[in-house]
Amino acid sequence: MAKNYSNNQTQFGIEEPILDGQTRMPKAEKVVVGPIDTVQIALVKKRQLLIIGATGLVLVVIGVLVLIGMNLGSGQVIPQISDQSPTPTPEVVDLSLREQIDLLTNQVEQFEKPSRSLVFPSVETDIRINELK
Amino acid sequence: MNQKKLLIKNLALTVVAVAVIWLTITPVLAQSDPLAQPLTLLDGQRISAEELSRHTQALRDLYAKQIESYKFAEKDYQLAKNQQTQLGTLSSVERTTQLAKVAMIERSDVLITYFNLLHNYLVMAEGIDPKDQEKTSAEILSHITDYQAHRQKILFVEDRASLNQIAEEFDQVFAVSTNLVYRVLYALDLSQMNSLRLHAVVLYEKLQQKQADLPLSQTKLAERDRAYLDIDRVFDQISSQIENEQQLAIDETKGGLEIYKQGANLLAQTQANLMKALKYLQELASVI
Repeated sequence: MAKNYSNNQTQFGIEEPILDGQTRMPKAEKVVVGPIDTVQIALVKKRQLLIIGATGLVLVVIGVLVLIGMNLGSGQVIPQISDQSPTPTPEVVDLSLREQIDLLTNQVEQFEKPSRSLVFPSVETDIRINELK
Repeated sequence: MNQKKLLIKNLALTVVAVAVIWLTITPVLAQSDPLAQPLTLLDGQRISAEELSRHTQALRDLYAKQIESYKFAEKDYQLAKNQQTQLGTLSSVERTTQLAKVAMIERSDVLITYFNLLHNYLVMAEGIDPKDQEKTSAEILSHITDYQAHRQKILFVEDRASLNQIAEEFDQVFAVSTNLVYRVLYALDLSQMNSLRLHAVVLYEKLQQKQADLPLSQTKLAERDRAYLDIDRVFDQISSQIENEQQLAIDETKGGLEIYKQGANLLAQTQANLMKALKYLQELASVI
């Protein structure tokens, strides 16, 4: 149903200049109303929803990663003994046999027990709170 | 145009939101789990020598920080305890309880990191029977779990009586830990010495192979054979010593500390004999 507008007012509520007492019609593209606007708004809303959805997804992924990180760092160390020798052996390939013997003699002479670098911590074992007298 | 603006606006909002969440969570995590740094190994994961070495170094650094921090916490607790004895007020008890709690948590952290270090050393050690190595590894991990549980309990306790109850439980775990630690330390020392011995044996065999084809006079041959006999005798003695030391390591009748002390003397003798064998090898390699 067509709406009635005053002589100097368009459907957008904008006053149009009056020429010779006639109301000039608004430009064609401005006249377009209703269905196309709805489509545009729907498209924008759809994009907004997509962006919000993507943002949410990113946040969820970050959250999951953080949780995994917390789990990894939560404290459990499980035994894993590598197939390969874990202690790097000294490179003696290029040394002569005599040099290798000298090197080993030196190592034995300066033999340092691993326990020396792993001294059991001296901690207070009696941490208790006395009763109030 | 509007869509582009909207897209940019939303992206900017996303970036800001992520940044805010990240900045909020990171420090919280760091505070909530001080053990996050050292414990990064997964179930069944195999680890290279380099990784293990790096991990061990990280643990060492952490341990140094934790022990320093613990010493301060222990000092604060001792001061508060002395004050409580002098003042005898309710607030002094409250303060001592809080400081005891902090000291107990930090003590747990120190012990957990220490056991992690010990575990890494055990994994790196050569010359230990794989079965013994795995059994001991499981024991160490069990102790780590115990101390973690102990730490968790402390976190949720506020009153004096409950804290004292947890302290009682700690005593039991700690006594078993001490025994285990000294056993492991001795096993590590022994494995190191055994590795050196095996290396010496390999070099001796190489030397024999090298000298086998040398054109030697009868005198030189006799001299060399006498040297071989001397070296064999010393190596036999060392093997026998290592066997005794290995028996000591699995002696269930002895306590960990006793084994460690007794073992240290035995290892010193083995070291002396190994030196003797290597001196012979040096002479043999230079003379002939």
